[in-house]
Amino acid sequence: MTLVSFSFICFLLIVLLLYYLLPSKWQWVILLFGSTAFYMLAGTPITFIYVIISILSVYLGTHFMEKKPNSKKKIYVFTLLINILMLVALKYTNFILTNITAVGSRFSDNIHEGDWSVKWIASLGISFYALQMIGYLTDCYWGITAPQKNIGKLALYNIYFPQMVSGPINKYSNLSSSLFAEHKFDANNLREGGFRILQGFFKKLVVSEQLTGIVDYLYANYAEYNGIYVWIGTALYLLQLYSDFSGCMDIVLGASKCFGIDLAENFKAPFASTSVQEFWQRFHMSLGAWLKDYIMYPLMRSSAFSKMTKKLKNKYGKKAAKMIPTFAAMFVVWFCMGLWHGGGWNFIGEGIWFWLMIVLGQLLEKPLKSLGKNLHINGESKFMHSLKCVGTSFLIGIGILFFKAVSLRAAFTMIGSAFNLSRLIASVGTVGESLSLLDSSIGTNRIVWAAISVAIGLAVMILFGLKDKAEERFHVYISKKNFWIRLLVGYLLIMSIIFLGAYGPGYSASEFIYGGF
Amino acid sequence: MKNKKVIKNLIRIFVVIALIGVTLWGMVIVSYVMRPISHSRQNFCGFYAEPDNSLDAVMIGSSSCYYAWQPLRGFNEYGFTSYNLGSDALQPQSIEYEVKEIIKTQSPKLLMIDLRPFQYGNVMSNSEDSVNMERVAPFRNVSDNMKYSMNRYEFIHKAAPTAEDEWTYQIDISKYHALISELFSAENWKYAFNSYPLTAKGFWYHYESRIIEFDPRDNKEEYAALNDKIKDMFISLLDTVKLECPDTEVLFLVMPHKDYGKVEGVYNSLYKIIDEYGYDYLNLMDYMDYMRLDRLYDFRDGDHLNLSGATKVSEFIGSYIDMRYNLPDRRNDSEYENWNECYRTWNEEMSQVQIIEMDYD
Amino acid sequence: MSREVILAKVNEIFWDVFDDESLEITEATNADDIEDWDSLTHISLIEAVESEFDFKFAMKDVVGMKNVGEMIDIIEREMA
Repeated sequence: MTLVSFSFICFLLIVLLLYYLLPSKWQWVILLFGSTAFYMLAGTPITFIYVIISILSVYLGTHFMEKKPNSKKKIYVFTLLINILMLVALKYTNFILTNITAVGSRFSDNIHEGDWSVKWIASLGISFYALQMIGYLTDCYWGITAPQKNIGKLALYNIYFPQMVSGPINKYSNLSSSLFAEHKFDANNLREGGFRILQGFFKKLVVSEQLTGIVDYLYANYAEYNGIYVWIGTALYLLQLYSDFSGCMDIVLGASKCFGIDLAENFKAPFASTSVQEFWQRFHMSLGAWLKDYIMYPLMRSSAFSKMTKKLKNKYGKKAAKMIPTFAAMFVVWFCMGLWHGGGWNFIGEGIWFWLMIVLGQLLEKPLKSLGKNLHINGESKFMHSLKCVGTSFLIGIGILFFKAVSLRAAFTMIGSAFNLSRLIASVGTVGESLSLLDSSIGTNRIVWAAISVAIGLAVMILFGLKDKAEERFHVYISKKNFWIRLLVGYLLIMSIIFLGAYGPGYSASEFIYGGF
Repeated sequence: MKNKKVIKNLIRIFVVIALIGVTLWGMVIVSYVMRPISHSRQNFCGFYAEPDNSLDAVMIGSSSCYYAWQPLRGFNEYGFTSYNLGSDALQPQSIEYEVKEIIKTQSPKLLMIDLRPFQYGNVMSNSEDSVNMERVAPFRNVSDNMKYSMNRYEFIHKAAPTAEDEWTYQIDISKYHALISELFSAENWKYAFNSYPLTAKGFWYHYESRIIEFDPRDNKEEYAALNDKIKDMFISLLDTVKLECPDTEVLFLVMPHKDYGKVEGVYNSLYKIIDEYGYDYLNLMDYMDYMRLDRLYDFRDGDHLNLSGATKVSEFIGSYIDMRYNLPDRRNDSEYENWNECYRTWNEEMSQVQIIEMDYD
Repeated sequence: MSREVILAKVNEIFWDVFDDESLEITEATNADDIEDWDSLTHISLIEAVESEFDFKFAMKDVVGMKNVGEMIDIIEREMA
């Protein structure tokens, strides 16, 4: 069962019914059972064992940290290691093995890259719940939060079904009071939640799913589709990635809202950012916050870093002492950010690219400002603001290219051809031919329909987004309107999802690719 | 005060229900409009357009049949009304549901059923057509052209090929909702109610002719073992007819086709079962000389007759039915005057058709 | 050490970290009041305060601190 499906809606309705009909003191228990059922339906049931290991280890760890404060650090490290190792083993074993064999192949002819691999099934949502539990464990260690005594409640924090699959990552102190509280039935929660879910379906089906086929195809066949196609593919991918992820988050947060539980926001008008740094404060915010709280801060406060700062201050002065440790810590953060997305050098490459952009952004901030002053350019003008937004999107585009490319080498090839003038010109010439090939393969109707859907979807998203920028999200805004407006908007959303959405036979990405160019 | 609130809520509930109702009705219409037009579609829509209980006979068949039997010839020469309900690559599992669909609005005295869908029942058969019953497109040639109903629901639920999810057959617009140009074509809107009269009553013609080499009939005495699936489907069809229309006669037809000789054993086994049920069959392969059917001139390809062949075959079948079954003669019935008109229009058109000889390429 | 003295010292630290000697810090000042006060400069502030007053903040204080006043509460506690 995926989030964007009729079955998920039915599942949600059943849980909601039980949630509000049964006595409110049972609400968190219903959520716990519902979440377990969700895991069984959406994931591979046998991998639930990893969830249990995670919950048990953290529960016992926090319990003993309290009971035996003298061994607090040892217990913390031990529990932390169990959870980290589990995450690494399930997610990165193949990556590690591939690298070992890659290195080994240079020393021996008998070893080839990729010789060793495992086929372990990862636990559903482990990238998210592992981080969430590690965060909770660490918060307990630091005394920021008191450990949860009820193992059932801790379990719920781990597997709460709306956020299980794709996040957001919620700090325990932010979520716990709401998660375990008793919620009275409030029609407004259902209104806002319902509209948000509709919005999510709209973004996913009308925009994201319409683009998946062509984006996957262009990236998979990058050797043939080079030059201008890299630009086209990446621009479309930027739109597809955002609509997919933010649409998913809309469904997640909307579903949770129906229960009266607010989750952390992951997006806040990211394309209104004027710098790469700002972008990452508006895009996948909960991951950024987690990395800051549990990697950045501890690193910078560590004794190693303090020593480094002091040495730098003495040798190179205040500015360097401030910047270099920060950049070093950021490097670790971005390395982890890249790695978190997947076990592959192209993912790490993505992280390092963003680190580089942020560092450059910081270093060039003052010089660019004074340059602007000298050239009498108003840095705050609307034009400059738009330019910065476009520039930021461009830099982000390069980063996500690394993310989507089939390998690190492919990424570099694609970037190379994108800036190679002769390739660019040559490829522009073939666009017409490609379009007619596409036309003969999937038909004009399909192309026109997809284009209209994406255009309408984009226009509507910008409309939603304008509201988000103005600090009041669309679903909140619309829920305040009177019944007839709500009915009209809801009806239009549903109708456009039905007619413009890419679902059903013949519309999946794989069928697109199979249909061939 | 309270009354005002109650009234307000009642109005809201009423509007929402009305909106849902209108939307559902609208979606049904739109889904009918967006269904892709094809011979199969036009045949079904033509059937639904026939007035209730006006048909004496209905033929259910694949393209071999809808290029063969001319209902208007049957009417003009022998006086009985019939409809040729054909769909391309008809699958064996579909026929019993088509029977149920037909008897909703018609009470034919005779059902003419194409036996060819069952010919791939040979246990030994490795023709690629033997997987025809697994293919999606032939199934949809029927399911996508039926009106929404309980019968259609059961048909899909019990018999749809698993290559696509069941709900995508039930709610067929999920497959066609990208075809926006169909929504803007006037031609498609004719079928908005899944009903539109066909002058030729389901008959289509080919004008090409090709020379056909018939496979030798070396197995005339053979009884091939039927594969279980096919046998079950066939028995199920016969049971259905016996149950649903006990007063209706059934004539199973085998149109002349090139590879009959290869699968003759299967047909023989099928004939045996038909006899057990007391129904009739007509193997036109045995009457090709009598009909003066010419392998050089009367066929468009190994499975389909052209107009010339169809005319000969229709005259023969028509006279067979006239002799064997007691169907009414409606030629002078004022209620069926439009059949006469249809015949005149259609016959005029058919007489202009020239058969063109083709080579196999 | 009295609160006023602590506040004055903290004020100086702010001038240093933000490179702006016009800043006037009160007990109510928080991150919303100063444009450049983000998570990174927060760390620099914490480090500078730790260095000046010779103690280490507990992690929960670093994260939990809502304004300068709370920071001074902690410093006062450590000084005692």
